[in-house]
Amino acid sequence: MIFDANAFLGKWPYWPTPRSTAAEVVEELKGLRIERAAVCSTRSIFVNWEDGNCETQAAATSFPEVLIPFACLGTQELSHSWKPSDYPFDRYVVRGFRGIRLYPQHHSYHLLFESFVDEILEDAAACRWPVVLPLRVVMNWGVPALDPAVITSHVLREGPHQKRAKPHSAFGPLRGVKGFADTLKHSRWHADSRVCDGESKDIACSLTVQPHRLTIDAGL
Amino acid sequence: MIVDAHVHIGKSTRLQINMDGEGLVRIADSLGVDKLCCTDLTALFYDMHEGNRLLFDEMRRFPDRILGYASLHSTRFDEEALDEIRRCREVYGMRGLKIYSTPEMSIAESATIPILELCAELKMPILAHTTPAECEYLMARVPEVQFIMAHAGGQPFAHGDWNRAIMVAERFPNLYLDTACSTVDTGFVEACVRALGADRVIFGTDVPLLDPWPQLAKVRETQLTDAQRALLMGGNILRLMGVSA
Repeated sequence: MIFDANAFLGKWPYWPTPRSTAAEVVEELKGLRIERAAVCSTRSIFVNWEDGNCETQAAATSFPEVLIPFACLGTQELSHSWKPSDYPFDRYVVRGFRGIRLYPQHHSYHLLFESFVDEILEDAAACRWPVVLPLRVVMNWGVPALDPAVITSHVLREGPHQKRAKPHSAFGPLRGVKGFADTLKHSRWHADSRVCDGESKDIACSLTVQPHRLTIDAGL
Repeated sequence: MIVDAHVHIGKSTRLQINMDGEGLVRIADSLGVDKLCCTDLTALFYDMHEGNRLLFDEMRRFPDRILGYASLHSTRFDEEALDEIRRCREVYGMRGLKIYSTPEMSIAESATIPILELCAELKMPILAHTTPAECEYLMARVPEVQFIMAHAGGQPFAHGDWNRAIMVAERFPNLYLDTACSTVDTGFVEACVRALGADRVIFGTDVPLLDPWPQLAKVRETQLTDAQRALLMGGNILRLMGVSA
């Protein structure tokens, strides 16, 4: 089975794209012979993460055989303070989500300075859910890529209690290969295949990772 | 009449905003602001069609208070963007256009030119989150468009090199400066008026992103004549939008 670990549905604001609805994305996946995909709505990134989660949930309900819903979580509007009671993790379990994606650079918070990140990691670990930390969304459009060193230092801070997590690793040419390697010293971290943007050193780096810690990302 | 020429409405996770028309009108009432020129955040950062439609709904809810800028989430959508601008002008009654630029994706490129040309034809002023250098590029190619440099050149963090903004605006008579800035530099408003004249400087707050009170105070309390102040705080933007006071 081919599983796309990092697919999207929704609009792409920077240039026209042919597929945005769940049905269109599913059709594209089928065309690529990808049987299942972890999805998240781009609305969660650009507009409002909870609105996007509702969209993702609806899409997964419509295509349960193909789409695995991942919830995107962030800070509350106008506060920078995330209150667990506002969005109890259990609710996402009941709604059928199976993982988390975080976009700190798009949602204006810092991984190291927001306590809700730790809470999410702990809750996700309890559910044995992966947490995806995309370094960037396709390219450096709009905001810079997430610094891999931040991820690494967060892992180190968490020490032996670090929960299962998985960085999406679409690195730029000069950025992140070292950070990528450092991050993967921690056995609970996984990488997805979009590290292979075509840079030979990226590919070489990804080849040093054991196969069971690499996932496929078709870039949808 | 006081008109705020730079207002955001709607939702944005990045900017951590969730504000509807009712909330904005409440803020405007507390400030003594009569009209709000709004741009919808969904239109600006995600989906222009959906966001502009949402803004139109708010314009209908508050017809005496909210004026609309059509917004584009990208200038790279060719005819689709041009059609959306026409729809916003003709169907929604929006009076201006808002576009956004970032260091990673500058709008100082050929794709933006048809948009400027259309706005010049439709007499829609453009409020643009741009640098002075970007304005220089664009105004040199479409000098007839009415162009408002948001934050007096503040990009990306809403505080600009306003001295350079003034230098560029001095070369282009249709280039205007917006006063909304995340800093309150001594002498900023006076310098703009002295160099460009009171009819080229436009009051905006960037509410709810920025606290509107210092934005209001720095213009209202500046040493200007009543006539100059009236131009900055409403006359200029209403004139550009073709709206009677």
